[in-house]
Amino acid sequence: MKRAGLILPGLVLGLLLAFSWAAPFLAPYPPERQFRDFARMQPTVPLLRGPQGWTLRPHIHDYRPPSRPGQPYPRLSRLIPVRFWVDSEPYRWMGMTWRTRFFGLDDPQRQIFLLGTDQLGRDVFSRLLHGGWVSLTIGLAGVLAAALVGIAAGSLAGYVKGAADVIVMRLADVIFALPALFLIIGLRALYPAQLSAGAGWWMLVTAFALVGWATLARVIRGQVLSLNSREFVLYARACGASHWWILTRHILPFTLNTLLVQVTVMLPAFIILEATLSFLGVGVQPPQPSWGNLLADASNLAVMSSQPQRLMPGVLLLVTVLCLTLIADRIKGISKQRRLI
Amino acid sequence: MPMGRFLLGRLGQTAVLLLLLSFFVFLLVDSIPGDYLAEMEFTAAIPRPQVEELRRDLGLDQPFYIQYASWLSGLVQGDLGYSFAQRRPANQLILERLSNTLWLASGAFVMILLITFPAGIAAAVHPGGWIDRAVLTFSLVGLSLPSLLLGLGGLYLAFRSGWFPIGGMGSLRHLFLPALSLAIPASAYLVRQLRLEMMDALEMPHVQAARARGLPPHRVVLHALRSALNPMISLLGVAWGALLSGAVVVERIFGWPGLGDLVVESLSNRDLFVVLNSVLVAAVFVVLSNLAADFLLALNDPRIRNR
Repeated sequence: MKRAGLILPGLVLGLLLAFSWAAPFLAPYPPERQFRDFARMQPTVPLLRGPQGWTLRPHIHDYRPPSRPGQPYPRLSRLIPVRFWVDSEPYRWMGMTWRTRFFGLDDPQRQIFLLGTDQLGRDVFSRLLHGGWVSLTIGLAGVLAAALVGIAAGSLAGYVKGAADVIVMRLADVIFALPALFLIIGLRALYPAQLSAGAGWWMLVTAFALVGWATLARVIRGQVLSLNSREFVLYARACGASHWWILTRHILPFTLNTLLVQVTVMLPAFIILEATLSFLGVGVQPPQPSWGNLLADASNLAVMSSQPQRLMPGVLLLVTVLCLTLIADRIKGISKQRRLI
Repeated sequence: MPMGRFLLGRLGQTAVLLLLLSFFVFLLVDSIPGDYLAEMEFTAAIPRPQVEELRRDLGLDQPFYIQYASWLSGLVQGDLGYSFAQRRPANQLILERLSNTLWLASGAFVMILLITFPAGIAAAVHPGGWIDRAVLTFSLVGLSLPSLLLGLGGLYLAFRSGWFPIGGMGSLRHLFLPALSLAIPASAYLVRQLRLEMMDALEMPHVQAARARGLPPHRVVLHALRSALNPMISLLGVAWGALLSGAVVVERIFGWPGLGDLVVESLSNRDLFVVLNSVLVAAVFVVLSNLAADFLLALNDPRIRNR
């Protein structure tokens, strides 16, 4: 029963992660590609019902640019079949060059926009998939970085004690006092206004490590302190084990339980933080998509009312965070039942 | 005078923390490439020696620790530097925006109290009942709804229904949606904690005794509430500080001219000294709210102030 609660959210998350990982192949167009003639278009929905009745071959209605910008796109009666495994311009994915995409149109003059296009004529669906990868990996990498720094700082403070303890814990107090969003915005001020995609990714991961390490360090320190005086640690020390051995073999393994709980709580918080930062224009910068900056694009009232499907990144964000919260809840419950020592 | 000693100790700790904080923020200020006058150097109309002279006058050629000392003494006197983008002293700007944020945060805080306490207590009184299950569901959904999404949803609602103004600051009606989108995630977390604390407190011997003596249920709940209140005060202190962080995005969405709005705006104008001073002001605010929470905690629980 307890496990069952993990399966569904885990499955949904796995699917989201897999889809966004496969974004280069699944998305019909590169995320930065602009179709300037077709800006602010409504979705071209693939239909399974043609003039001859139901078929298994999806198709879309042809369309043409409106006579004046801002007008709706006239839908023509000509049908364009949607093809699978279509040829595309070469792109890099998994360290290889690919020339095939999952689906698309044969007609080079027309495109399929499952969720319509944005103000620059970029395919929202492609941006959504690619943005998912950016958002999810930044959250995961940020948690990983925060965990590494937190474990190092926490065991330093708890095991070495003395001056190291005082310094680490006072630093942690400073981090606790700084509101996370303000701290990251302050850090962002140190970097140039424009960052490349890679540099922006690293900046965010570093910032997350800086924001997140203190919580973990405080918890790990407490555990290390109490474990350090346990008999099995004293025994290992009496046998002449080195500090490194005692710390990594006898103390840190027992902190894993708590660490897991902390990390699962931190992950949704970081994914929200990334989205919020990118929404504010402080995180991932366009043209690189992320759920946060896609939402920022869609957040004005004109877009919200005419193209509500562009709020899709918000829905995916909600689903992701909901699943992660459910998982965190379950893990907390399981870990409470099984206190190791 | 245990209360006085407790307070003095906490004040001392807070002073040390504030000093550390100011040093940290000064490190950030100092590591911005260039200084206040860097842009003047590239302006052809201003001769180079004049810039150097100005730099000497402002003490920007002094070593690091002297600059820190003079920056700190300025700070204590309420000097937060100068906003080059807005062409006026930053302290006016920051304080004006901070007061707007406080208005928003207070509204959100009242909502948090109004949601958390009735819901948390009602859930704890009948664990497993329908109220309890509804509260837990609210908590789960609320935890997954960041202020970002709630704000966007609220904006859309305001636009569609016309019940609320779409943005800006002014009446209480302007306050409602931004404050609600701040309050829901926070109270989703707090209600859960309160429910657990209340469930523990209702089992405590003195509450059991009160129940055994035949006190009416609402009096029993009040008995339990006083012990459950302890951890809640600390958590509410943290939540009040965290409202500031959450307010950044809500202020951007609803066009609320607060501190968060100022920070983001200043960052995009590259008005970096305003950014970092606002960070410091926000941090001081958090530290002071934690101090206030400790003080309230000591008021509620004699064991803490006599420790």
